[in-house]
Amino acid sequence: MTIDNAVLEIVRARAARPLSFDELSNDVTLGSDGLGLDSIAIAEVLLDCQQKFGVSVTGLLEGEPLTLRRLVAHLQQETPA
Amino acid sequence: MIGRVRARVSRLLSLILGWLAKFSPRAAFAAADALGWLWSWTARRPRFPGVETRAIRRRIWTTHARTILLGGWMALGGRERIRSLVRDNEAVVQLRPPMIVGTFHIGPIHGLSVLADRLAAPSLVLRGALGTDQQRALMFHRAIEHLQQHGFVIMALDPQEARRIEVPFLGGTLHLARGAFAMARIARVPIVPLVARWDGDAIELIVGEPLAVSTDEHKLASAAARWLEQYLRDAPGELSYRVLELM
Repeated sequence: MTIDNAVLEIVRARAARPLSFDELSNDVTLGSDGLGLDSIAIAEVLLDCQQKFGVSVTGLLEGEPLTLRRLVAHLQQETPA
Repeated sequence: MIGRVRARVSRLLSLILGWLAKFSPRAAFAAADALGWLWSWTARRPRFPGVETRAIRRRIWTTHARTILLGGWMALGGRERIRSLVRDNEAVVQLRPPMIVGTFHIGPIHGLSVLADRLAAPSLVLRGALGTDQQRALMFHRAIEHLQQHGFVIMALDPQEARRIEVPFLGGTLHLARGAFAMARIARVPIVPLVARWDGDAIELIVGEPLAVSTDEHKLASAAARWLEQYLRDAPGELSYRVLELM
């Protein structure tokens, strides 16, 4: 499974409502102005990613809004090939 | 409008009592106690049907007046003096991380500021739930990592702004914040309930039994509410308006 598909599955599992694949565009944010995940769900998504890929992702929550694109790009960059 | 006026009066009162405490803590406590006594006579709330409420109400309002005093004293640089009022408690020193120390807004809450120094391992204090989802997620994420590194996280179980879990409490319902229980579930750590209360002019810390580790947030919240209910049944004068607001 590719990293982006794995991330999409993690996000869908943590969402409070069913998310269609159309909603999961790369530029959408994870929070209430995007996919509607609350702070605990966002943290859980990152913890799941951290556990699955063995990569630290805490820094992604600092600064600009966290989008799926940023998350996937970070994991692709940091995950050993 | 009434709320704003009340808040201003409270702030002014806080500064006056805090200023008095800088010169004479004893006089400030006496003034706060007199104020509490006066409020307990004039206030009609809280009511406890079928219970002799005068002494309970007096304790509640005295604690409220003293909290106003401590707020002002702290704002005027009295932090260290307030910390010196808090008695040592071996039960606090004996707590072992990783653990969430879950506090409630009852009693002299300013006394809880000593916790970070008196716990046996580094602690992370979480205050309020302000900011964006992402900022709160960052705070939550850091707290989980801190627990994974065998630290303590100190946080209120009853903050005003938070997603809530409804649990049975004193024959009604209490709305506790979800954060600490979600954190305990994810990090698989216990929550120990802890409150402060007045004993004369000293503050004592009351440490509860740790709540059993669970992956069920509702079960954890119910256990916390049960602990608080028992605490308040034993000491009804510790009831605060924050708790009433959450019911």
